[in-house]
Amino acid sequence: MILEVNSLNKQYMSKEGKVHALKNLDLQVEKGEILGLLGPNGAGKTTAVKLIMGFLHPSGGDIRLAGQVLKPSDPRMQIGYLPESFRPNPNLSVKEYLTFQCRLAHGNGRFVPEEVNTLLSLVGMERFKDRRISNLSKGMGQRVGLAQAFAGDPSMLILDEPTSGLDPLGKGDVIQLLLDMKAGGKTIFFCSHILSEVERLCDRIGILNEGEIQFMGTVGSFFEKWQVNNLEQAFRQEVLCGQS
Amino acid sequence: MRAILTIGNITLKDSFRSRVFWGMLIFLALFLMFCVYISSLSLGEVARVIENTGMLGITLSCLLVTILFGLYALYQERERNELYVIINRMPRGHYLIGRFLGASYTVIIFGTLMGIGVFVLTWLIGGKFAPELFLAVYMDILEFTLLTAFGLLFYTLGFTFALNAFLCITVFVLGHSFDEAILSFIGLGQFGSQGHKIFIEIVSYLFPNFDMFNFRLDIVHGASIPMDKFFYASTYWLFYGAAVLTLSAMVMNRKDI
Repeated sequence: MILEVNSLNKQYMSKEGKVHALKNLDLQVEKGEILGLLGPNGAGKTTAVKLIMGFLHPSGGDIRLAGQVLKPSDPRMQIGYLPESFRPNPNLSVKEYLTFQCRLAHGNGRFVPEEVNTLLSLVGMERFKDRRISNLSKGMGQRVGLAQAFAGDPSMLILDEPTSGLDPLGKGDVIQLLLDMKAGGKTIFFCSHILSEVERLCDRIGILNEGEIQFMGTVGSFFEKWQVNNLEQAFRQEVLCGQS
Repeated sequence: MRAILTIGNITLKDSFRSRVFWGMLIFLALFLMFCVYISSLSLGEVARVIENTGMLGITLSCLLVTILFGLYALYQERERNELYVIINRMPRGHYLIGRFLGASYTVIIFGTLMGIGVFVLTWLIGGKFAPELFLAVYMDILEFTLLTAFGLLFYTLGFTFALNAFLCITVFVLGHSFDEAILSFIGLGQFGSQGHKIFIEIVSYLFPNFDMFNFRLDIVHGASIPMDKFFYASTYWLFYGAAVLTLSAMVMNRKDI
């Protein structure tokens, strides 16, 4: 097991009072698998990701990466991360931006300039390497975002809506890229709203609703649970069942 | 250490590429022209007027640079969700030091450019060779890099950009008024006991005391600048800056982002 989340909780105060954004989240991600976290808007997916990444301090519970407890606010060098609605620095060129991220990803270690070319070819951006990011389309910006997540060859990737902003061809390319990454031994944990890509990509899925995990298992077992053969139908029933 | 330098360098590159950078350069050129115009209205005090107005320009440009490049870029980075990607790869304290370094580079560039401009004008038009102007530039750089550290602290506390800019200007103004307030208080003599005076003096250094970096009047009046004051101000900057940055890092480590 590469990532283990135990009884993770997050509560905070808002104008409406105490909000329990995440309730006793338990999650295990096996090495080399793709786990997708699904849920309606406001279910707590991004909160869960931010807690795992250490951007939020949990109200309870712990997170272990390769058996080691992670402290909140510590950098997660072994994890490549793509946040939701990510936009890279528009004043830099694609190559400059990836060089910058590769340098950070290697910390005080040796940075190999060829790595930038590898990342560029991974996301199909070689032709645009000298283009200023401000002149890229949203989809291309998302590709740069994905490329930076792969910088430093991390063992695990956490991606929040990795295909947002991409056209159907771009989405297909990203899905294929993630499958290739998996074949290369990478572990991927991602959040998405797009059920078709989840179905195509994931070994297992987790359904998060109102801060609680309602289902965790394979797509096949999810279909079995609701006696349907369509992820959208099963998802709808799961969420409605949780709300009632 | 490498990651800190990487952040510092990228901050500088980002500043160079922004339109505001070139707008600021135009502002500097216009201000220097204004110095020449104002000096032409004076009666035989050309050098002094250029020096005086020029040093005001250095202060003004450094203040603008601190807010526009030191602070605004931080908020833009956060809005783009880029901050998450960066602090995933380095400790938050290192990120803040890198940002401080990058903003300081920009303050140094603008302060020095403006200093060179004022020096050349004072020499060519005013006929006064005044290398001590660069001491004023050095002090302005210390002052505004310290203000940048305050901006970083306000940023980590979660203040908006507008509030942060307002607070920085407030700290700047109050930091220059404290000394005067103390002098008036001490001048009143009989109203303050020795204990009170010492207390207020300590408070003025804790607040921060930006007047410690102000040698403008000495330079304009051709007075010599005691070297002990110069070293004292540098040491004060070093310890105060380190304390504010450490506090910022502690706050950022404890906060949800």
